[in-house]
Amino acid sequence: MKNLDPITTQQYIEKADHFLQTMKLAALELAPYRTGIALLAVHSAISLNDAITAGLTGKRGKHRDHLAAVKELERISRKHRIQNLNGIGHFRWLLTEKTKIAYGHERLDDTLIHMSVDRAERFHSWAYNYFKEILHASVGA
Amino acid sequence: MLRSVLSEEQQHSRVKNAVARFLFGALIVPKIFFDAQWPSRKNRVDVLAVDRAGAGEIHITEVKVKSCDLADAVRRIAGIPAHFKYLTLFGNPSFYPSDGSLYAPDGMGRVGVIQVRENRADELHAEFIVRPERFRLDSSYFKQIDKFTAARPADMEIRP
Repeated sequence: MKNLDPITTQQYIEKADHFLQTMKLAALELAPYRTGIALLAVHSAISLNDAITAGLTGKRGKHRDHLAAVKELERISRKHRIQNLNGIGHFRWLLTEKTKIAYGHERLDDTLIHMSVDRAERFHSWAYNYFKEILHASVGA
Repeated sequence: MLRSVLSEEQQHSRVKNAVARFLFGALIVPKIFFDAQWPSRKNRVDVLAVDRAGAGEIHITEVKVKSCDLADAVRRIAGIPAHFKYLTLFGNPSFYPSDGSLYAPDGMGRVGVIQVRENRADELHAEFIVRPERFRLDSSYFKQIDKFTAARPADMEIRP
């Protein structure tokens, strides 16, 4: 894997870090931040996916239709012969729940919030495990 | 408190667990290894964490449970290759490093100090008393850490 746009990749990784770390911090005290925690989980995954896409295609993520971003990630993963596709499932789940989290009028239950955190962390783990070459070079490590 | 009935070895392991949890919360989906033979079989560190599921920077810490030669412990940890190095203390409440021993000879890097304390409910809590600064590390260690993480399953990680 060769990174076609390391600067943009790095910028998206930074955004993903900010979302993820704020999510973790807020999750230490659930009650006052519930909806924010879940939304940060979604955005951490979107930004990290944008980092992968920028690195491998040289294009910036512009998908208003989020499920198109899932399909693009799936295409990239298959192209690079990634056997474990769990991360795509985590990403799809987060994007599917985004509408309910951000725009729905109902109060979110604890399970959804915990699931959002879990899916976001597992998506990050998957991305760093299977797109290591792209994300490795960009974090200066 | 429970620590009075635990052996020194048990206390040491509890503190390793506590500092691993602390690093796990602070880093981005790290892989964490206890008693890691790093950078070679001749050397062992109490806790080794590799940030970003193995793709990121290398963090190491040594745990010291009772009063000992802390200056020697700092010298030892300073000599081990990693981006971030920490000395973790438990039961050394009076220790506060006042000299330059925590700093890298070239000034690039400072050993961090983590204090672990036990509360009345016998729970351990870790916090920085000296924040670390990043050490310079030869890029050849990335290949070495890749081999390490590929050869040994992590003791703590977020499964993808």
